[in-house]
Amino acid sequence: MPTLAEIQTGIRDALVLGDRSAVMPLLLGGLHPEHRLAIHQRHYAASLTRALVERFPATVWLVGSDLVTHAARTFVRDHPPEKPCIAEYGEEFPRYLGAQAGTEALPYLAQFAAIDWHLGRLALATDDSPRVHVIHLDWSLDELMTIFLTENTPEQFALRREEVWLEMYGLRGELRMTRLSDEAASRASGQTQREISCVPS
Amino acid sequence: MAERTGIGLRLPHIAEVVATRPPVGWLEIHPENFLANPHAIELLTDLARDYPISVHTVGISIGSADGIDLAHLRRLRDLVDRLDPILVSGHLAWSSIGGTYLNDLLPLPYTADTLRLVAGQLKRVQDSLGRAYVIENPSTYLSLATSTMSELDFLHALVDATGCGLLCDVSNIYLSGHNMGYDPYRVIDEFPAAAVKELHLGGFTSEDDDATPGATVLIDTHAHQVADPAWALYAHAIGRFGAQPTIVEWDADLPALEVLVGEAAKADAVRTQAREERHAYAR
Repeated sequence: MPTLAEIQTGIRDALVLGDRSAVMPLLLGGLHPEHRLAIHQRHYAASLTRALVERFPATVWLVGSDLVTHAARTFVRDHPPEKPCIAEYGEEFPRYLGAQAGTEALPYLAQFAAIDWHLGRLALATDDSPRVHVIHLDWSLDELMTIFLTENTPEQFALRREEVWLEMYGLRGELRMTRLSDEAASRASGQTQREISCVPS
Repeated sequence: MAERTGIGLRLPHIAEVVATRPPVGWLEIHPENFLANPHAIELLTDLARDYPISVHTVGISIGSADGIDLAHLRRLRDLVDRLDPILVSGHLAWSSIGGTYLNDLLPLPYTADTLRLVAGQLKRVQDSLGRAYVIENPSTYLSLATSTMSELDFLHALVDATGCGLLCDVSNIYLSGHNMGYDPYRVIDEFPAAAVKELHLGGFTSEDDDATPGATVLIDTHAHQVADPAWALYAHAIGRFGAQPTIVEWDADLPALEVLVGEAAKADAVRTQAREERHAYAR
């Protein structure tokens, strides 16, 4: 008889990888229990894909939901969650998205999605939680993000390749972004209540 | 304990609940939705001054073969200490294995080995939280052929072994009976009544059952109003368990808050009627 660990590993493989071979002989439910297992498989893929897509609203605005949704579907297979707080799931998604086939013309996509991730976290901050994050950028993505946040589309916009240290501040839904000098960025990295991120473009 | 029915409090409703203080008996939260959201915890702490709060976990994974996630348990304990809830509960299910969290409540094989594991991990959770951890019966689409006892027998054995309280999800009993081919009224009649601390109601979705052509399968989506057969079973449950504290859950395709509050009022009405019929019968 299989152990509990073997049964649970078999169900995990079915849900994440689509490999039902180990667990199928053990299942009961209707005449064809594999279809009942498919209910759990659908829930795993759909609930996590939806959570990821909702977690990156600015990225969806920038490149459309098809690209983000497609990448999210494969991400939940390749990088399943490790912890029960799904709101914290997806920190690696910006790099993964930026490495997707078809994004070669968008070398700034990973860094833009990383800003999206940080702003999402900072929007929930209070006085008792970290409320300042700093990120290093290779493009003027703060200007692009400002267009999304303010819904104020200029007549013309050109993304420039330039080095930016961006300080993002959030408190109870309010968000603010400020460019830092190199000296200020260096000082910021030594302070508590701040997180420093560098996402390669 | 709350006399009126409560609601599952979901994040999209929290600002309106803070602003309007709707007429419900209590609020139940999924801590996993709050632990990463300091602002929501701040709002919830404010609500806890006016409403009894219940903490209903979806991520403890009491049946995992590789044990309880102690880091998650510590975060849960910190939240519980802050809120001082009237109840803390979770599911007879598992969600994690080998470092992967599957974001679902998955079926356990009901065996003596599983009973020992769940009883031991339940004790560990209760010891860590310093309070009772109430166990909910699952919604079921599948069972394991290695089971040596029914879900009902397992719940009796768990209560006997640990003295734990139970959260009877009436909708789950209706749904599981439909999906697995047993009589939900018999389950209510044979449920360990003395252990029941809370009742749940939630909406489900009916789909064609690909597993059995021509049949339907009920999915525990919490995306609809409570169905009429579940209301009827709830009235029967009140007759058996008494007027236990009740929560109405709605998790997907969230309606306007007033719709959810209306469902809670309907549960109050069903409970009042069931109680009056019980008293009339006694006279």
